[in-house]
Amino acid sequence: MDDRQIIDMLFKRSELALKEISAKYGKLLFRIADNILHCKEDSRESVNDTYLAVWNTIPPNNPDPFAAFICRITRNISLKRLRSKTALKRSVADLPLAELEDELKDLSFEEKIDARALGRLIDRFLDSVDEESRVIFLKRYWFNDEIEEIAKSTGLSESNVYQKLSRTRKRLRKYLEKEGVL
Amino acid sequence: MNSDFLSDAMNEISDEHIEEAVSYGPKVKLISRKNVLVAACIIAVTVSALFAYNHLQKPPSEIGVETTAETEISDNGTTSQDVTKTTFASASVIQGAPPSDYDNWENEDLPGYFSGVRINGVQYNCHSSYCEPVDKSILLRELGRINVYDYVKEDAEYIDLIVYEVKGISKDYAVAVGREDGLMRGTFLYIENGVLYSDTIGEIIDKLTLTEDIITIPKIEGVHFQYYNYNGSNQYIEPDRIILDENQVDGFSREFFALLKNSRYCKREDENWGEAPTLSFHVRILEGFTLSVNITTDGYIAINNYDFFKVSKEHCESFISSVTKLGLPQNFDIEKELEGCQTLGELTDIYSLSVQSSYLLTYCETGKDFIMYSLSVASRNLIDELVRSNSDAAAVSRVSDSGDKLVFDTAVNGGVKPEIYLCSDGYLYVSCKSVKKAFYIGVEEYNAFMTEFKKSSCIFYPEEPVTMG
Repeated sequence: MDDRQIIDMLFKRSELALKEISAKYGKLLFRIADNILHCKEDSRESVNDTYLAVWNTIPPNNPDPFAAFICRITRNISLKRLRSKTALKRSVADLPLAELEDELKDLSFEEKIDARALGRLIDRFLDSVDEESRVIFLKRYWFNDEIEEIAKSTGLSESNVYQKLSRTRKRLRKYLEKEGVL
Repeated sequence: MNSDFLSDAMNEISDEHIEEAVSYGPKVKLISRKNVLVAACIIAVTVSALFAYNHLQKPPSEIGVETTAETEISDNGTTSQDVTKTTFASASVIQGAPPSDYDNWENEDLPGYFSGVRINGVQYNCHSSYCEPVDKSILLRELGRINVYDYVKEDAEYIDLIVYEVKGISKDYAVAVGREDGLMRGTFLYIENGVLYSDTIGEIIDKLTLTEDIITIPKIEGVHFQYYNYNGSNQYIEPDRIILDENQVDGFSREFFALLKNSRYCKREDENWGEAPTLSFHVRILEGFTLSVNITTDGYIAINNYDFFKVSKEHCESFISSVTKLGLPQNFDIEKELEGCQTLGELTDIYSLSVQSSYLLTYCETGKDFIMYSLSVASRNLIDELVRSNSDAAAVSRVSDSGDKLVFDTAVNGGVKPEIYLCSDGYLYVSCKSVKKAFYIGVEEYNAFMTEFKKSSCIFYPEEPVTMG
């Protein structure tokens, strides 16, 4: 079923829409949550919270693209859960973002720009790289996928993925320096 | 800088980038000529050695390796599976979620359930919902089989998917896949994943060995072409729908192929064409695999909506102009068209009842709440058959109807939508503005049709509530 049809069903308040979302996106959403939380119970709860959030926000929202909308909800719910549950013994610092943080560690952004502005810069930077590098970057630092998973889904070797990530991180650093954020 | 800060920053990544990452698939890598030669030498030596080994060691029927079955069930209940027994060196399937509430899954399309196959590291996909089974005459030898766990059936079991080489296209770029039991409508063409991501149109032509003979422009949703125009304020308006006769369609398949050939060096772009007037249609390869195509007056060819090629504006304008001039009625008057229909066959030449833009039909039973049915392939075939067997039914003038109604959601043309419904009094009714016609099908035929229709369609509304959380 395509996303437009799912959204139509949500507008008609048909709960079959949630079945369809689960069938089409359930695995992906669980993966996003589990990559952050590394706990099956919490990940399942995050996914269920996502379905509830979708039900409550559509309508009036009419998102397009739908996949990005729903992935974003799961990611945010999972990050919130991670931050609030200190008992998990994991924190945001344990996510793959730590690699990116390492690359940019001697740059101090907080005084110069807020997180949103930095995010928009990174988004613009991603426009300038090739599709494969962009996708790998996002799979690692937005979806928090393991290298092995990225290699499988892109058809590349793991070393190739490492290389591309490393190059993209360096290019991002140069880009941010050029943009005067440093 | 801390991770929380970066994590918040990553929240600003645009939807388009996320969407791209969600739907990304592995691509074919182009390699340099030198590496091609080196690789060719290595392959030649290896193949010779393997051939000698196989000839000496193995019976002719065995061409691969058996691996252990593995089925992974993730905690949210969905499944993925790796290769089980296969006659390829390595093979797996890309398997979608099983159909829900389907009693007639075996009449559904194979690609809806197995959207891709991965053979020896090469992935072939067949995503389009408009793909048709290919004719047996294009199938060459069987390349191998992929044994998969088929949990669609009530008593789930392992079945073989058979992979064939097809006539005219290298197996590196296309194969045909069907179930050994022949169910799920037959054998479908699967295209190698990287073909449509090729950097130029010429590469797509060469890889698929496209010729004007294997390209057709089918009728999808009752029309061959849709022409999207915009008013002065860039506001989208309802498309004009263009239906051609057989000769005209042949002519345009040739013209479309000529357009592709003239554009063979045109490169892929990563930008949308904006809102230029657009001719939209589908192209079928070997009467099986369907691609959607959009051609714009400002010189873009877009394939499957996401792959844009910048081509000659003049060529595009010329192609669009020839289609719209011939096929687009200058002053399409729907009342007049309907008035002119003397038989049911003539009506369905204008409106295809089975393939409509909406997949829902509304059934109104006297004295009860309405039910909405979603159409399956089987129910669409039933409608086609009903029309075919009654195509000579003559139009009569009939003012009132009485009984239960099955309402067809017909295509809109020029902003006017005719009302078409099948009634339990045995008539098919059509009305639009002042035109009211009916075609006699027969009460018995209606009853027989509705019995089969209800069996082959799913009830979309009302549904059992889903428990959340």
